Amino acid sequence: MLRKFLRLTFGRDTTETADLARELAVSVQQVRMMVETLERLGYLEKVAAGCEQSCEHCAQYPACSPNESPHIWKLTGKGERYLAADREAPD
Amino acid sequence: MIADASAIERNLYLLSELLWLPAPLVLGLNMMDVATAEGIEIEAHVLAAALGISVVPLVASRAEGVSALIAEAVRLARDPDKIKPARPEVGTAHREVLATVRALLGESVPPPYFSEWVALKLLEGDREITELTRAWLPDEAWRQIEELLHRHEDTVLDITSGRYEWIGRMVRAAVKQPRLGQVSFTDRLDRYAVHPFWGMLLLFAAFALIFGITFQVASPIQEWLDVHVVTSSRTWLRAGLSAMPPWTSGLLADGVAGGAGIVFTFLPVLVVFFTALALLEDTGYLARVAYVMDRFMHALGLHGKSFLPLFLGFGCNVPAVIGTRVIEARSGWLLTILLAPLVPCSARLAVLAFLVPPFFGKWALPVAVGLVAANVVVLAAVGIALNQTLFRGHRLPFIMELPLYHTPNARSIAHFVWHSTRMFLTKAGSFILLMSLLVWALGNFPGPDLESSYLGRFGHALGPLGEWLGMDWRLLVALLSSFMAKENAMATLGILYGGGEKGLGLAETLVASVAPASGLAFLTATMLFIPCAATVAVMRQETGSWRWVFFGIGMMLLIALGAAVLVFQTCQWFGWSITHA
Repeated sequence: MLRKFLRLTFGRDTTETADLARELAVSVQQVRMMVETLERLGYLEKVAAGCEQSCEHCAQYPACSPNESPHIWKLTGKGERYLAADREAPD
Repeated sequence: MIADASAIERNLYLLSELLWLPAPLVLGLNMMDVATAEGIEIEAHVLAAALGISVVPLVASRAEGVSALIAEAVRLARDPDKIKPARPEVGTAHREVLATVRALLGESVPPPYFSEWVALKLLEGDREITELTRAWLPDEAWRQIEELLHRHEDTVLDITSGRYEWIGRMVRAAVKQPRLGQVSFTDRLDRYAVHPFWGMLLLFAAFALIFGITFQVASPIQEWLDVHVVTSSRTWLRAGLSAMPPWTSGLLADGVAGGAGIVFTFLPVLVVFFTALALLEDTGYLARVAYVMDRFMHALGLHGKSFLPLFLGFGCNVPAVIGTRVIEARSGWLLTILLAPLVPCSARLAVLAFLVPPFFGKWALPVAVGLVAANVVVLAAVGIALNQTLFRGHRLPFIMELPLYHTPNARSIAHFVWHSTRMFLTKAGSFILLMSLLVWALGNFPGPDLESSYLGRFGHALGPLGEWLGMDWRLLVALLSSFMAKENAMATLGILYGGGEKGLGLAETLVASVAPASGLAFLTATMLFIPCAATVAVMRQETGSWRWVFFGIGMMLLIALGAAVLVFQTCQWFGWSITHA
């Protein structure tokens, strides 16, 4: 299931969790759990929605509503290595 | 184990781990009332059959099912072999690895641990068990296990995948979960909001709506303030200070009221603009804009992560440039820093909202939306050109979770609007006021009139350029002064075009003095003009190099002037409104 999850992200730019849930035929809640697991295992990494790292410098910070921002994860080096190896491996 | 029935999948994951332990298990499904209220229907007997253990539904807050759970636990304690749990399976590819690790552990695992579970945890990379095992095992056995774990680093994916497949099977068998309320509403709306075509169309419609509301609600108030407050106060100041030296009334009436005062009339425009923006953000729609824009940028071959800081640029370009720190790849990071100032910030949008209605009347809305759209097109074209030449990089996939749509919260909207407005007022009352005084001084000295002032002489020197751009020297100076802050362009126009004497507001004075084609060229140049001083300062700070800053400034200067020339010359070619009738 997690392999299929990672494979689905390959070759795409951005995949929404709701689309992943549809394609994996599971609930959005389960996709969210998978994301957490893959993050814990080091295959995915949460990225700030553009500003998290620079909040201390940001004049807009007090008016910011980070809860309404999308949550975004990217593939880590480990994730990329895994997918590269997976593509080379025979089915 | 007591599970939360309303979050059944998350709890089943814990159960999947517990099932590997040699302990008799009965599952108490608590909060069944909450699950039912959320539209989750769990068939306990079906789940029990699928799991191979007893399942007792509970509502612990009302003590419902508690006696049955205790009775089941007692029965199980008396006959622990009664249950045959259906455990998640490890994928066939790694069963052999699991067996090898178990064999290497041998008899070294002390109670209460047992080797099958420890082997599983080692393959999962559990830090605590890894440390313990290292202490339990002889060096040679540990070295072999370590090597095996290193070679099969990805086995953990099979183990956890097995758990998720198991959870999926259980849920499919015993849980009916109609997608109600917010989720269903979000799904329905997202069919259009995140669609590649409809999503972009909706995005432009949202911008059009914001501009439409601003023009309908705020522009009349702004015009009223311009004529009845700023212009009246200028007339009043001139009359009241007639006994004072002429420069005193000039400084206060033209420099302060005519310059910074004009910028204060932006207030209703900005309040409406920020309220509309906060409403869109608080409903969860702006997160969809990020998603749609991301796909759009990828489609144009830009770096995926670039959209995150660029998105911030709609508020202000300064945090957008600082936000590029999230991009690790140097090429993508530099490219995004260079593109960030091309995003139309709220200050530029406010200038647009101020000038478009008087110049274009009933065509104001399509012109404003068209200018924003043209700005986005230029940004995309520059991005593609730089991406194909100077900044080639590889693309990273992203996974994005969008928030559910919900009713906006009045308090958080008020907080956002108040903070943004206060920031604007602080800037208008300090920096822009100082700049207005400077522009007034340069426009009045050494005298005797504006045309022969330092600013006038400088402006006239730009005459040949102005002819190409369709702008007189005052428009050119206003454009140049926007380098200090974008709103400064309006303050400078307020000082240089005067107004007040005939009781006309700045907007009316401009319409009477500037042809629509020149106005359009001025607006085009303003939208694409070099970044403001604050943005340039953070560009220098982030890149640590003046080279890239000057490259960015030069590039934007060329684009802005080139686009303005194109707009004006096209208008001239077709004979569109070069002069006022």
